[in-house]
Amino acid sequence: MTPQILVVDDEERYRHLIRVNLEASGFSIITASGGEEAIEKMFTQTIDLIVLDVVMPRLDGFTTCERIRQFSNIPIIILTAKNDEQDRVRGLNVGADDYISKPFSATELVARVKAVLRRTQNSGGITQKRFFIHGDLKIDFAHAEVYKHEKPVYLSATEYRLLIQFAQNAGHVLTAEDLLVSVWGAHYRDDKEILWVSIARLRQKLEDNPHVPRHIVTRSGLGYLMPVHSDDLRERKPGNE
Amino acid sequence: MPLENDQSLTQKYRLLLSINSLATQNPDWKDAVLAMVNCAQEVLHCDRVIGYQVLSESLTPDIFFAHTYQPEVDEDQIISSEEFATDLVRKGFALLAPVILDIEKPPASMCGVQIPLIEQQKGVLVFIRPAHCPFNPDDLQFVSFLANQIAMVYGKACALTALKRSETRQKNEVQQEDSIAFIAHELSTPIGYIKGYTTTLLRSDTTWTPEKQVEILQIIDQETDRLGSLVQNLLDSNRLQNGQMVLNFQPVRLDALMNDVISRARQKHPDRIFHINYQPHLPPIQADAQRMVQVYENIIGNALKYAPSSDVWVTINMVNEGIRTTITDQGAGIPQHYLPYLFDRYFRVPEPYSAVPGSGLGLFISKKIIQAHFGKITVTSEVGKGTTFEITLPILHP
Repeated sequence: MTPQILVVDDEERYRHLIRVNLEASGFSIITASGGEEAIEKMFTQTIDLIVLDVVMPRLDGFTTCERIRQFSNIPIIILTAKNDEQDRVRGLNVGADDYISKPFSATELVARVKAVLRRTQNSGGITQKRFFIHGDLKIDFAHAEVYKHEKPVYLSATEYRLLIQFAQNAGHVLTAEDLLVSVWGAHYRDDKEILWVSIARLRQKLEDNPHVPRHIVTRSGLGYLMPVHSDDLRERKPGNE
Repeated sequence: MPLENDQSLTQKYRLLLSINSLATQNPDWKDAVLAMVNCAQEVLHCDRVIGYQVLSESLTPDIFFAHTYQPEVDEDQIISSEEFATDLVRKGFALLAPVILDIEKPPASMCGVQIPLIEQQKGVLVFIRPAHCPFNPDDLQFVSFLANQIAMVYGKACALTALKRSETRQKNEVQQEDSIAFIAHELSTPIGYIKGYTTTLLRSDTTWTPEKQVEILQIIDQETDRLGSLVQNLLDSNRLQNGQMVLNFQPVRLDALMNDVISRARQKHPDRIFHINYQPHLPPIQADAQRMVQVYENIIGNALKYAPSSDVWVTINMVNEGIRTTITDQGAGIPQHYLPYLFDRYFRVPEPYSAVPGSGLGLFISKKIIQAHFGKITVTSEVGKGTTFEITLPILHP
């Protein structure tokens, strides 16, 4: 099957330029003129790779990339307008797989797209699942919204990111350090208290009874997990197993 | 020291308090100093007070403050006070070290103190009294107090000026940086397309149909034009900003000029409709034809660009002030709060127009050109209804 590439740029002429070149190299192209549209399309179309412009009104490329990474590992190449190290680093930090600096040559564009596809070994495109459901809990990735019993729950940005970590790793125990590094950043590695407080707050908002959690359970001495089997719900003390 | 009764002490405190509050309350330092000296006059009974400011390198005193309570100007007094002040500075007395100098053949008694002004500047305050009333140590203490208060006021004024200056400089720098970033961004867009589409044609791993080649070459051509006109606009705007643009005035028929502009626009946009209404027998005006074409092209171009599905209405009429051209479209219009900035350099109306290419210079240049013609350009707009530009040019220059 021809790989399908989503080209996201607010400037029509750039979308055209990228489309012309990638189509000539045998890719199939769909386009979006902004971040929201791109995210919407990920839930309805089969996509192998995203070429994402950074400078866009409303949702810029960095934010879009960050949002996509909350629910998808799809390969992303960002187009940075400035040949600016800071921008490139920021792009890679928010989860881009590669970057191309504008102005770019058509050959470079095609070569980078091919290289990233090769490297990421994508086993064919995927249509993203828009919702993640865990019991009475529902996450809408498209709008970064969380529902409990179909009623919206208002989470802070950090709380949302924390919840996403659990959703993405449902069934796996995450250590405090894992969570601190991926949600707050490397220099929070040892800041366990901030995690305790955040987990307590998250449970307060998401659990029917925060003292008997069903969505985020503690594995004493190991970490936390979002259980996928009812078996996981049993609080296990280390050494009990 | 003579024993003082309570009443006179209270009086002195009151005097010190009023001098101090004058120092802290008056926003203008010169007013403050004058008010303070006036207040001090109550106990000093001077003929004259002169404040000198000395830059440490020059040692030549500069008067920064002078007030006289004696109607006659005694030049000898002034000259000797100047020598006195220079002497005071040169001897480098410790700050506020007061000296009493009774000049040998005294036309006057003088009392001077150094004022601790700021950094490199020294100040001297000289009080002059008739020769028969010399200053006593009490007076000196009081004068020192006064000098300190003046130093405070002056220092604060200097600091404020410096702060304001640095704020302005910072603001200018930021503005300049903003405009450089803006220019770089505007230039990089067409460059990006030219690079991208040229290398598209140059790809050796694929072939393009002749139609595709023409399509791509047309884009490259358009983007090259866009780059050229951007550079031209930047040059123009720079010349206008520096007042270097020379206008070549000659008798010009605005209706004929407009016809040229519209016929070129029709060639480029055969699908667009222009409604023209000129008053017959319009007199020629003194104008730079080339520059006026530039203004008309800019405004018509904006109507075509920003109101892509609207017709364009153009009228030229005589009015009291001269000849008025109006250019109207029925596009999306411009939100009211952006209108005051429309003619500013680099201003562009954000959403929903940010995707339309533009330099933010066209209207700025147009306004400058119209102003150089002693005319006026105004805009009215209503969201959802459309936009009208009105240009009024005098027939004869004032």
